[in-house]
Amino acid sequence: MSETPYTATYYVLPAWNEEIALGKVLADLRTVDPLGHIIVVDDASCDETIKAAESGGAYVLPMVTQLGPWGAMQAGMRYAAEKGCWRVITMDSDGQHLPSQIARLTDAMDQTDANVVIGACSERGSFLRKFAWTIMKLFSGISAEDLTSGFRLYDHRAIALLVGEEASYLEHQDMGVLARLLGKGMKVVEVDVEMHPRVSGTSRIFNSWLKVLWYMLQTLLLSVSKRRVERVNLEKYKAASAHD
Amino acid sequence: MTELFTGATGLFVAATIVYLIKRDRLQVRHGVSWMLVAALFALFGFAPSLLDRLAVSLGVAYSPTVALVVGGSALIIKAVSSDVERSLSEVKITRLVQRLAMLEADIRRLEKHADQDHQESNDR
Repeated sequence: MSETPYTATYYVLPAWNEEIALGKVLADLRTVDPLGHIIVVDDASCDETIKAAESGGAYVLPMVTQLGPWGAMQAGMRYAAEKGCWRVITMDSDGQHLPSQIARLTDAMDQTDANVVIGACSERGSFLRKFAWTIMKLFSGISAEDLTSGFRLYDHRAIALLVGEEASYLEHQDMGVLARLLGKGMKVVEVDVEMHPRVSGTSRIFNSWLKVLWYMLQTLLLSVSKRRVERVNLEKYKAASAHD
Repeated sequence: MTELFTGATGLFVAATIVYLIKRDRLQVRHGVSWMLVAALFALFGFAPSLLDRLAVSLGVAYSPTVALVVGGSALIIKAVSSDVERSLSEVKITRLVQRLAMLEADIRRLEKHADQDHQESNDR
């Protein structure tokens, strides 16, 4: 991929205590895009995540205090936007999202002229996660297969909408982000991708009933507040196979 | 006696607000709304007939109920506006933390380049 400013693709990986998985994720990413601009946002980890990121040749944004998944993600997007990104790919640092699947996202964007492509994997996830998806779809009026996927490709127009102060009121890269993008007329499509189980750590949300309950209450309120009058069914881009 | 107590409470709240602003413990913009609440306390405390007339005009039989409802509503509005202010402050802190991390990333990048340049010049 190109590395010239204003046509460059940036990879943003928020990381929290991911010293074990991060090295392999970055190495795999380098094999896909040897010259890619990789940004690892260290969300105040207690382990050697920063060292692992620097060893992998990534730019490191070290947070002095933990901002949570969206705060970290937005920091990476702001940095990419400041450097003149053309596209931004967001991925988890725990090994769930496979660099080999990035081509499916870029292909979907090129073919559909979308502003955002979501890498969807509906097979993944616990009962809690699937329950959360159902509630979100019901109340938000947005019908998508994988609403919480962090494996996404954004173009520079979508990025411009997400780096502003208004988007800093959000806490997660799910309903709020999608509602904001759709409300501004952005085209969002989904494409099936393969995902792996995380190599280390646990989900920051879907690891206890209490956290899920709190998350669901917040998401419910956000979904109702930002609900669109017309129901939106996200377009599904059908690629040849999810296991290319 | 109740009137005196209510009026005195209003004056005490007003004096506390002035003291906090004087000692730079409270910003003026937050103090103004509390001063209005204190003024209402003092007004209805020292002139209870005003409250009675207000209750009659609103069709409330027991006038202290009006004071309680107005006071409760004012507190709820104040609490919500405080959360709005707090959200704004948290967003500003988030933006600052992000900006700090972005600047640190640039510093790290420049230091790395400087080290490489230094190494290359030493090798020559």
